[in-house]
Amino acid sequence: MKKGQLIQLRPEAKVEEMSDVGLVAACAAADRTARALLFERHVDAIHRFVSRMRASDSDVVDDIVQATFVRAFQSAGKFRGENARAWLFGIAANLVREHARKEIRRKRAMSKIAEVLPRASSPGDPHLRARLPNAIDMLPIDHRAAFVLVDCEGERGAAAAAALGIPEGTLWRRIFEARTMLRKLIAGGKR
Amino acid sequence: MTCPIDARIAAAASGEDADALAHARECLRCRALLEEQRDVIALARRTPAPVLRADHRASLAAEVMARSDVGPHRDTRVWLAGIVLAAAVFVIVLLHGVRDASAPSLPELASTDEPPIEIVERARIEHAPEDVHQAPRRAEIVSSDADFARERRDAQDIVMLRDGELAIDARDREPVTVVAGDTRVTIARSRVHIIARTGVIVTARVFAGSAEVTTAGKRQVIDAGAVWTRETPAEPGRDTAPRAPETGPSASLTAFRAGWEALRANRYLDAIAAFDRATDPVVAEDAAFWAAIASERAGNRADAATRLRAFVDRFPGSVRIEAARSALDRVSR
Repeated sequence: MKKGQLIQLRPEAKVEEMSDVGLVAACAAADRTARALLFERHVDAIHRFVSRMRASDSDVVDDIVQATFVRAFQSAGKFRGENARAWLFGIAANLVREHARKEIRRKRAMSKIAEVLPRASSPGDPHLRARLPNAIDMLPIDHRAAFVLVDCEGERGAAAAAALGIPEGTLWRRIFEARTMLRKLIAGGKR
Repeated sequence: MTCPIDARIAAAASGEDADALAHARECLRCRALLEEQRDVIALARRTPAPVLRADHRASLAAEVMARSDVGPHRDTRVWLAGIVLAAAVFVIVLLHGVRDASAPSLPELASTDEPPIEIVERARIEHAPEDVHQAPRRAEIVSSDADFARERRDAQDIVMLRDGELAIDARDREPVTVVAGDTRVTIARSRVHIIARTGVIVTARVFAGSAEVTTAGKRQVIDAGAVWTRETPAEPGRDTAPRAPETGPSASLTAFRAGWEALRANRYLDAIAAFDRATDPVVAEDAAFWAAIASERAGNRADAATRLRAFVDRFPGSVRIEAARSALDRVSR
């Protein structure tokens, strides 16, 4: 939604058929139905993203998912993009980062998990898959966000970089490093 | 042949850098890196995604909608900070005034009568809308049966409300002040619903932005999601009498929150009782739905079915209508 762009909030179509940009604009006007619809459209993706970002701390997932939408509704008037899903991912990533700053549990979890990680050889190995969430949780928060958005959620690089507010080159560097770290963590440091 | 940087190999592994991909076909080192990157991608794709169950999703939705209706909690802190800041500014201005008054020897100072006027004018300029060239439109007022008069007084938009309900939208519009009896409601960049009865404003509900309510010289700022209701003066000789239970939208919001907390704590009967008190339209839909769910979780399927049927009849356009219907199927089996 560029500044000055005309958004048709209530065309002949029903509110359910509104675009994401229109929905966000309606959310800015405190439209309850639009808020509910925006939530319904994106809650699964946001929940998946936050769950993957906070695998070792599932009790905060709900709080962060809720806070993401509440904050989105509050700041809907400032939305200037065209990709509401990426915008919501960006809000969620910021909230996860804010939360991570306040806790030190990850470091304890890190040493504990590192001790129990067995070695395995192939990415198709179900044991490897089972260990991936914990390994993701051990990544630095910025690397984790980049990896989860692109490799788990399937976002394109440009959209993920916009969501995280970083240049695309930085995003790919973080993803490269995240994948390398994950490979070491899961496979026992082959490379 | 120069090898691409690691970031480009990462992008190539995701299919977003064709040149780096072409290079990796010819370069053993880059091909190895690319394969390593792809291994992790393959692993991530094969890992089952966390699934949000329907009941969990519904509870999240209710909580998000309730939280967004109630408004941001941080506002309390923001307002406190604002009050502290205003107090600090007031003290500074006061001290400045005292210092100025104690320095009469400065010849360039204007006479003591004039500065206040200059300060007022400056304050007005600072608070002027950003686009001074384009006069803002008057606030939009919607009313079906209200008895009111609107006039421009000292360049201000004034509405004198005697009775009835007004829905006023002053977002991106000129501020408007609603006056009835000893109460004034100033609405700037906000959307407010006001009810007056026999010349007295009894309720001001703020849907967006904030409004300032001044009654009997006492000023209050009401934020989005909150409702101001007039305090009923106690009758002489009845000061010690027990108060009637709180009613109106704010009481409903309080009841809804209590119901929600009880539901999350698995105190279903408390939750039902609290949701039943949340009758204001702001929360009635959510409260009715969650009262039915609480009843189901309490094991009272007949009551849950009755409540769900009532919900479906009363709120056919609800975003929760499908969830209510499936819950009704569930409890009716």
